[in-house]
Amino acid sequence: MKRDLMEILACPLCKGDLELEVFEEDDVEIVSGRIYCKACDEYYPIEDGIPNMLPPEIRDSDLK
Amino acid sequence: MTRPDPYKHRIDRYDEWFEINQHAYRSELQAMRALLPQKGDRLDVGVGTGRFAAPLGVALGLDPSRAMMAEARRRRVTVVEGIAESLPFKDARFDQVLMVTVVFLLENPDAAFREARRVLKPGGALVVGFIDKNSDLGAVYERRGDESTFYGGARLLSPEDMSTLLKGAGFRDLAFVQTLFRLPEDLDAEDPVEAGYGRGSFVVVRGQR
Repeated sequence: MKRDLMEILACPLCKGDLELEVFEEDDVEIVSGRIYCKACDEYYPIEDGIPNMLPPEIRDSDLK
Repeated sequence: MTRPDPYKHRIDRYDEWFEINQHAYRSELQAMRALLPQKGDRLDVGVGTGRFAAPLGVALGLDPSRAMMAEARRRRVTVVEGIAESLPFKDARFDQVLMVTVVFLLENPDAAFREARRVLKPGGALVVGFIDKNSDLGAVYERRGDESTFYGGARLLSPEDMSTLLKGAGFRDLAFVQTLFRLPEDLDAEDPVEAGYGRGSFVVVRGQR
């Protein structure tokens, strides 16, 4: 994901502001990292350039 | 990540439909274009492999399937993993939100429409493309039921169902167009796009925020 995506992203739960932590970035985009919602104390991972903004209970579910 | 991706092994089959049914696909694109303004900030909810977002020039998509979105990324659509019922976007950010053949897959369409309205700017519009439950193609899908089809277990809606849901979520000034007056396999050219609904299997509705 590109950095400017942070301007429109919000926490899927509280819709509040998020903090970005970058692990790996190439010429084009952030490849891996994590996005943090302070209000909910939840982390949303960025993997293979795609931010995973699923609500945590769905992301972590073993069920479909 | 432990969550299995139900679409992971079915993407080829999903994308194949658009190759086999080129005329139907193009008819659906034309129907979307008829009600989708071609400018502004736009979000495709349920972007899948980007089969609609890319040709419609929509730059951003959301989907719960990473495997599908890998294809959308190849089609130069920016993608975010998430669900329609809990959109990970700030309020009032988009001029248009579109949802194409996705509402019938949702567990809670009402919540998805309310979320779409939340992220739309004042004056923005939601544009929904869907297979009419009461159409010829709708009957084919319903008859296949939840056997081994790609859309197994999904529930189709009628235009009246869609109107009730959209109005309940706060949308107004609903406008409809329709296409696919024949079944996809019977088409030898694009079908026209006409106003209203009731005869075409693919219906597009636009609601103002």
